[in-house]
Amino acid sequence: MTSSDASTGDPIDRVTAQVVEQVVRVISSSAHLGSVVAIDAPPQLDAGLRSHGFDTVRIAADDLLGGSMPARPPVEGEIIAAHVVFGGGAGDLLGVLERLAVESDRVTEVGAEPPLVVVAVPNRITLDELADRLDGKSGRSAGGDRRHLAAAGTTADGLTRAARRAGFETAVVADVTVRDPSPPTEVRALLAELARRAGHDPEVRHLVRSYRRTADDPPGREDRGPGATPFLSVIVRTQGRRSTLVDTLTSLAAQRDDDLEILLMAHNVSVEELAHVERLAGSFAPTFGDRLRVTEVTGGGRSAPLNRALEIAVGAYVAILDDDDVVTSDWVAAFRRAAERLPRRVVRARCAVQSIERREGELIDFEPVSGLDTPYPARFDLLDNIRSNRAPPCSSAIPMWLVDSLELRFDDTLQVCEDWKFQLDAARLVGVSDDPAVTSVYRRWIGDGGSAGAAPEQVWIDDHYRVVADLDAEHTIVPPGSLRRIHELYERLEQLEIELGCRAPGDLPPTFGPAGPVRSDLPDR
Amino acid sequence: MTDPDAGVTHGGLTTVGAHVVIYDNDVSALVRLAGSIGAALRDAREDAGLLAATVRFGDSSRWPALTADDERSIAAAVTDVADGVVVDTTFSFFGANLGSGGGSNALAAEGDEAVIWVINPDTYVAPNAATELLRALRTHGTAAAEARQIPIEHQKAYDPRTGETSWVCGACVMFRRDAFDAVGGFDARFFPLYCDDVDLSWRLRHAGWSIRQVPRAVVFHDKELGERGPVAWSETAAYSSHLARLWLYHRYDRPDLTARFLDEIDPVADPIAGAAIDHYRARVAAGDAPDPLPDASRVATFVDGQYAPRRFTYAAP
Repeated sequence: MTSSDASTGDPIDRVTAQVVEQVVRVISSSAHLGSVVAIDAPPQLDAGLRSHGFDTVRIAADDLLGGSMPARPPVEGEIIAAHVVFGGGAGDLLGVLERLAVESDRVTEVGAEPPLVVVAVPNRITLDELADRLDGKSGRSAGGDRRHLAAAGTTADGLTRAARRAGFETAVVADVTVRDPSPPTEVRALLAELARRAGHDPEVRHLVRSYRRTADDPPGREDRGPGATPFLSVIVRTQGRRSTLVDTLTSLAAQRDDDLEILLMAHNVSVEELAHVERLAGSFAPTFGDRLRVTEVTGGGRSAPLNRALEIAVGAYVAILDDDDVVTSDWVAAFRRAAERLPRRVVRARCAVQSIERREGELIDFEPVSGLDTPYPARFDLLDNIRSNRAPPCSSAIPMWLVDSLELRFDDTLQVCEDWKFQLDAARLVGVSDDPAVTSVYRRWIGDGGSAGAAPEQVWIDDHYRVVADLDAEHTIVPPGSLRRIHELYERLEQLEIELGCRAPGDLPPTFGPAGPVRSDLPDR
Repeated sequence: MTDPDAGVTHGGLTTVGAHVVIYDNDVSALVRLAGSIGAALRDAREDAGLLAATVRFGDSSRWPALTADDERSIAAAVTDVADGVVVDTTFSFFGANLGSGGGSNALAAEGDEAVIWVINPDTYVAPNAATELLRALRTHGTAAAEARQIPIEHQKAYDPRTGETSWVCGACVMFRRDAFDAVGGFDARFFPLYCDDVDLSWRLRHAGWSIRQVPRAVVFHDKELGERGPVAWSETAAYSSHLARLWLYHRYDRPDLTARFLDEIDPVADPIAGAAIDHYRARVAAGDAPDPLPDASRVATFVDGQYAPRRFTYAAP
């Protein structure tokens, strides 16, 4: 649909009109007079701004980048209300924003109010760009690669990161959305889901955002260059009460491959507990201690310390190690082998289980009560893991690019099962590379003491089905061979029903509709 | 039975000789171990009144396993952390394979610290290990205190309130030097390793001392995991283990167990065990066998082929 320009009578794109309208609205809601410096703006902007009492000063982005922004102080009495950037070409948006940051600081130095920065860019992503993002070959995973940040204005996430890199924080989001009223086909719905994972909302036609200059330093993660990151970030969440924590940390200190950092997340701890954790962390030799960071996290559920860790992790992969589990000396090395064999996938090694019990009044407050067993499958199977969590979190590591580029996070609305959901979200996107070595020991508490006691049994059941429901609400790409397995499962089920006399041979099986066998008595999310 | 504490006060246990016998070990692992020993000794100075320590590495390799640069790196890893409590870090090349026990005896003879801390080269000690072991060692009548191993905890039983146990594992154990010397240290017949720690433990207990597990003292002992537990032993390890068993049966006066073992082994089916038996018989015939200890049954604990009752069991490799 188009609408006419009232002044010229020429047909103009309706979206452009909506974008201009949003830009004017954002500026007028923040300022009431002054000039607006418009960079690569469409001519329609002038009329809209004029109607709200603003003057427009036009400049091309290329000229701005070439230093053409007037270097003079503002004329006395002159107010620069906003800098407006219209992007969408092959220009260097990051460069423009950095130039505007310099200009903003200059204005501030002479005592004037720093102008609002408004950015309007088309929200576009090509199929190749989408595939690269979903495959970890571009996006935030490129680290501080300026080339990617410069072109990042094509997605909301990229624009936000470019703005942060330049020294701005988001003030207002006023995106232009266009929704197709007709239901999408399955493949289009799948592509839309994948696009959203890659940080691109296909219904947002044009990004319109305003920014304020921030005094905060740009985030360090995006500044790291290639080779400056450890291979593995290990998240150890603790409440500082477990005597097993020294076991966990000592096993990490003994790694043959010491290319790791340890994020010791002290969650909801008292002053004494935090002091204990910090003292323990500080007691290791610097070759290990220097890789260990203690961060206090207050509030939130079990996912809160994990998500906070994801914000500060700098490794290429991230793993969770509970503060009562231990690993062998080749735990990191096994993940690296799996990563080298199949890059950009979840990496996984085998995990042994040992039962332990709580003790009171003895030399130590826990004791193993069994030998070792390896009940978990040697190879990851997606369908198997959808049925139930088939491996403790210590058995796998997730590529960080999923966190960076596709915003993978732990679901903090889950009281439990958050690690299972996180692993599944990753695995069903990128697949898993397995290493056959047994490299971790999951200590399973008999009685109280472990995560099983973190919530009542009904919560475990409910959250289990919530995870299944969440997965079921989206498309899942299953690898070749999966449909045949599903077919075999159906055959076995039908055969069992016949053997049990639940159904006569030849009867058609009941239809498993969308409500299927999944529980329908749970509240909607 | 001797008086375990004659002439010794608990306050005298304030100096430590930390000893590591190496045999072609990976240098980077030794550097890590050295750093952990330094951190543990630093912690013991702060929390357990440790006054001074010497760290000694003894090389039982055929050829020197460490270059001068390696030694500097290892020494630096200790002193960078130990912050003045470590007096010296020394390196001795034995020129022969003395075995674990013989090597430890040689290192013990190089010093006179009140406490001897024996540490395997394939370990990493937790920062609190020395502190906790020293505290346990200062318990009246205690001659030896061992750390709890991870990731594979040893399955032998111990008193959960006192820590007293049948024998202490030589992977990470502190001894009172006076007790160690009084019983003659390790018996080098248990070569190159395996059960030298069992034998020393029982001789200490035979002399009236207590030995203890200290579960709060943690040591990482580098082991490869199989499906159901530690991976299978090498042939050398199997040979050493069979021979050690025979020495224990001999010293601790269990001719019945010796006879049963010899009867059960088919040298054709199990040539490794057969070789160990041949060696044992030759040494006995040559008079080079330990004399059985009188009244040994009060300390020797032979249970289902093990040397102590077990709290749980690992499946066979």
